[in-house]
Amino acid sequence: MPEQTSLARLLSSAVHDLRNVLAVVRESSGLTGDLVLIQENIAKRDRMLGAVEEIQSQVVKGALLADAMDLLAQAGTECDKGSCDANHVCNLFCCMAQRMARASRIRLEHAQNQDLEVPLPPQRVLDLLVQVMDICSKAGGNVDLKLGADYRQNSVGILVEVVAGDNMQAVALALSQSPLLNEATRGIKNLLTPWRKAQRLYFLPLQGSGQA
Amino acid sequence: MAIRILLADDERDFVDTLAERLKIRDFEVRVVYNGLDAVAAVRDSRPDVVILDLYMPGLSGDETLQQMEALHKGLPVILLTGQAGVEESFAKHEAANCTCLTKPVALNQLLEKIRDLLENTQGTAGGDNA
Repeated sequence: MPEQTSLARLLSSAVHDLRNVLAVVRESSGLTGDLVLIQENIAKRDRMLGAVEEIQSQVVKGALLADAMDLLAQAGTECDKGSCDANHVCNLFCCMAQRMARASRIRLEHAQNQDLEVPLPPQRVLDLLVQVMDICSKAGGNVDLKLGADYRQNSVGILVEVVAGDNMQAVALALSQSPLLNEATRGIKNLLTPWRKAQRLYFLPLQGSGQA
Repeated sequence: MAIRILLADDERDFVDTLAERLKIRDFEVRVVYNGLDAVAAVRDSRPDVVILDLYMPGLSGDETLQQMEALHKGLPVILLTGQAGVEESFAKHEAANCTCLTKPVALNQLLEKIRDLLENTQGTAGGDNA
């Protein structure tokens, strides 16, 4: 196994510090909330508690981004075990790709399914998810996508649901006809096929090399 | 009687604020900023729960934990870290009296872990303090 590169080590170190920063923000804002709750007659109490809640919510988003950066730092290193929880990776992808998606007016949502271990390294799953988003972007974007891993016909894979948006038809068509995903790449079969009669629900099997 | 918590972390901004929040909830809290002081604090007076940062100067979290275990076997310990994925490295410590959390941790989650550890090790619920 290759060792972690210098960049990966630096990224891991920075993420460690980022988590410490987030921990301080979380506790400091939490303490502010505690003190506001203790004093009943404080001015604009509800507004202050609302602001504290918003800070705490942003800390959760920051922590998810830190998880995502850690995942990237570990890619291809001895820390990378070659398998991953596909739902966790989908969640991290939705977090990491928000800004990219926004440029194409795509809204990403994680399906919040249960943990699902797949025999693929996380970067491979991320790679496939980026491809899915690229297809949607090239078709004009302007849709809401829900992503999550699940079982279909005894296979584990990613479910891509085109939930809403003015451009649903074009995106659904592009996903159905995508040459990018309708071929075996890197020994992994990636068929993005409409699931049964649900026109806007697609299944991307995640299988390890040789299992396709 | 208040539950006694020993907080050991070299991130002073974090640990001092966390201590204040725990005190508001009627816990008795002692704060130390390195592993050696943590071991000394456990030797002086056995806390009910230790919240221990894994990476501190002087004595690592692993070494600190071993020395604490030698002093008080079964001492409830919550390992805190800013480095994700280290839970597996510390799986050897995972037991009824030990658990690992990644920062930033929601206070409710931390309180829940404290309660769980106390219930597992002493049959004591910390509900009134949460």
